[in-house]
Amino acid sequence: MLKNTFRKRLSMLAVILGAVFFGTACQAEKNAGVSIPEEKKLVVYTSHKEEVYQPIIREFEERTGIWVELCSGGTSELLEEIQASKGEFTCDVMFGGGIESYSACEDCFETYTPFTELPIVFIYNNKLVDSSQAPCSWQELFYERWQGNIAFGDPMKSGSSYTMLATMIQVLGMDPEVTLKQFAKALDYNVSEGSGEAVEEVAGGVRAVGLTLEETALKAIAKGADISIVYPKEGTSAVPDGCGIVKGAEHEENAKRFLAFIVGEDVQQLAVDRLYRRSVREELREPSDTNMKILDFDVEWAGIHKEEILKLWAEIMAERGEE
Amino acid sequence: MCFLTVSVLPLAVCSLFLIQMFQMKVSRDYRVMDMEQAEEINGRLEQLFAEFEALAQEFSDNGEIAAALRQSEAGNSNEIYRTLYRETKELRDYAWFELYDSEGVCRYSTGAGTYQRKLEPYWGILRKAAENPGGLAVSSADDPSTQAVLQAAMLIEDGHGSAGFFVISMGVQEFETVLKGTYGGQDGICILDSFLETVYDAGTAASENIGEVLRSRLLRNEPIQEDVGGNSIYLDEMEGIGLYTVLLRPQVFTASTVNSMYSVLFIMIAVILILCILLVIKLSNRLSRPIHVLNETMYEVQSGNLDAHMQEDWPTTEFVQMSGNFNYMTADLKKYMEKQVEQQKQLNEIQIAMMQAQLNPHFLYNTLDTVKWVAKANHVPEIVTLVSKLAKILRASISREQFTTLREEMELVNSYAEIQRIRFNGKFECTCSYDEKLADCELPKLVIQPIVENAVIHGLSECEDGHIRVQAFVEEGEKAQKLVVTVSDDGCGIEQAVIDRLNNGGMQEHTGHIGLGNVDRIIRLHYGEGFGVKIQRQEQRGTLVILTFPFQKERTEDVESIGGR
Repeated sequence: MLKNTFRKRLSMLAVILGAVFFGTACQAEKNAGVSIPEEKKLVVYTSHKEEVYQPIIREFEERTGIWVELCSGGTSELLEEIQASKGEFTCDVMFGGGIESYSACEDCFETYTPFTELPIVFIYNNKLVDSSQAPCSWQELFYERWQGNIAFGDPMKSGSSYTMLATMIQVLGMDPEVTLKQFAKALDYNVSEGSGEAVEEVAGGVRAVGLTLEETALKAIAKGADISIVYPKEGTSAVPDGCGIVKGAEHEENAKRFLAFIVGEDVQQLAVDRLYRRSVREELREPSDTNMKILDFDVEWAGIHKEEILKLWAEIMAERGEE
Repeated sequence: MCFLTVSVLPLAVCSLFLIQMFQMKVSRDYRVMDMEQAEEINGRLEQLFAEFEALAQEFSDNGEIAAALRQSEAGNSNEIYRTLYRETKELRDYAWFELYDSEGVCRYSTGAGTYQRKLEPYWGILRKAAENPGGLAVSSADDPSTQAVLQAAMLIEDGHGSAGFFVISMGVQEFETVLKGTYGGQDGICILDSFLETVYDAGTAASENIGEVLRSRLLRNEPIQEDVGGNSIYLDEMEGIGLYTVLLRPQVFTASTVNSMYSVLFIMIAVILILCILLVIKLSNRLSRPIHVLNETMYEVQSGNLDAHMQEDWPTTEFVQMSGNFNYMTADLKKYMEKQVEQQKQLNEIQIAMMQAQLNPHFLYNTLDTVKWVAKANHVPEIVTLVSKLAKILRASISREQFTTLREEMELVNSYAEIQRIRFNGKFECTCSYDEKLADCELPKLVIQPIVENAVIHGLSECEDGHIRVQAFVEEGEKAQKLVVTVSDDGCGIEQAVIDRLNNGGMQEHTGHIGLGNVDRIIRLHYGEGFGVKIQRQEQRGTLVILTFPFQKERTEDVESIGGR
């Protein structure tokens, strides 16, 4: 009897509590998820700056209807991640970074292609340097008048600065150590944070001349920096940046479309028109390019000797610090 | 426990229910309100774009403009500008308007600093417009060198094909103007393009970076409209434009609001619990403590202490009455017990006195026997009679029986009268009369004799010729029959004042009438009030003494023999 009443009470309580929590349950059923089918997706790792990748990615999405999941970061960081994943899916496409990094870990990529070329140029401040006085060859950089007046990004941090060192060594054809020592002396053992900062230093008058990528210089000029570009007369390197399909890509078809898209006419044209880059397509080379002598830069050599040269550079800089 | 359940459970359940209901109701109301707001914003933008489209249509059909754009030199630029400014007058707060030639060079603009700017005709908004002649293409601006965040364009065509583009650009400021007043300070608003890339965001939408959150949710197949950072999200599509508006509204019920509601509930429950406990203690004091005390006192009384007294100052009247009654009862009981004890004591005293009077009765008896034989031998018959009667009286008085029959008592009276007659030389006569049916009636022994003795000694002492009459009869009483024995004499009598005093309980005190008093007491002790001795003055002369007993037959075998008769 007692038990019966108790059970009755219990069931009543359960009904009440049920009514109470029904409310909470009601709230939970909100919006059913809209999802993107896998065949409409693409995962891209990029080391480009936003101003470069954003218009390209957007246009790609607009034209193909493919949703691009983007992850941006430093070239070496992203490549390390891809390498470390050991076949597990990270991304479909790696977009950006010097072509030598792609050749360095060839086995990670199904295929890769150069995207744009980035020649190394000299710049000088129009207010501080007369155009007739401006350095027009690598050799001239070692002149005493430029000593301590050259803006150069730290090759330990900037990939393009290393390419400049490698280019210098290849162009001058001298012993790497001698070249580096001479150049370090010409810099008066001062380096900027990166190649971007090097441009700012020249534009701001901190240093008279500088080494940077053509793209960076043109962009600064477009923004109104009072600097001029000099193409070294011995020639310069134009190391392309790359883009590759990662092995084990889940959306390989879309990745192929992306690669086709970025080397296609429109993106290449945009790279020239808006991004101040040089197209890898012959027909888009402007006639003015002819005054630039592009060396047959040995990318492989640069890749192999990178560590060695950087170590040497670090030693030279450190020795100076001790003096 | 029961008490707690009854008091706390309904409150807890009710409050939980109320909180839930309240939450549901308010959330729903706010949701409806928020959705209306989102729709309003969406509607406003949709209307704006409808106006834009109508305007663009006008420009794309305008042959003059097409012709002007085909000319490399600005011929009638003033005329074109006049048209441009006139047509866009009402919408210029919300956007700026530009005319591009087919090469993508800006030729006319209501904005500042965009003249001769180039847009790539193969790229972005111009491509979209070229691919969709006659329609308004909308796209987020991807060129960081322009102020615009959103661009809409329409191809301008004439008979020779495309002549240029009419481009509408909206910057952050223009969006602010459009959306002003549609959202509050705590809200957020965000315009997304068809790929959920942020076009414009403001308020909490900017701080939560809502565009990226939604886009990454969509790519990870997570529910899109889930709350972000305590904000509800309302996503609406602008139909035919390919844009989305996102409205962020702070949640009405954040976790902390609900928590504070619950903590208030818990505090209330705690207070009620405490109140309940206090009430229980108080109630138990009022109810169970008096009962406990009563029980204890009862136990005390039970174990013999009639002096046990119970306190009477309870808060409840019922208990006051109850304990009062109890005390009254024990007091009464005590009084009764004391009376009982006193009565027993008195009986004992009388019996002791009687036993003392029985000193060596056998010796007396034997002596009397000897006297009788001596008298017989000497032929003195009076002595023989005297002694034998005396022996009879003596035997009756020393018998251990307390009760006797009427017959025996009457014989005793006769024996006594015989002795006294000899003693007083026959100065009086004594007659005993009773119905033979009453012979077996029971009564205490030696109760009539003292009365007769009284009559002889006091009543007839000075008379020469007295009469004593002893009669027994049955009288109907109130409840039962009574045996009445009357002793009347025609002696000097007793004064009325003395009689009154005697009848009013003064028999014991009157030293001269100890016998009378003793008889009265014995009867009363045995049978209680209502029985006893009454004295009356006779009408002519003498005294009448009335003894009343309950009418009862002897309880021994004699009863059976009477019954068998």
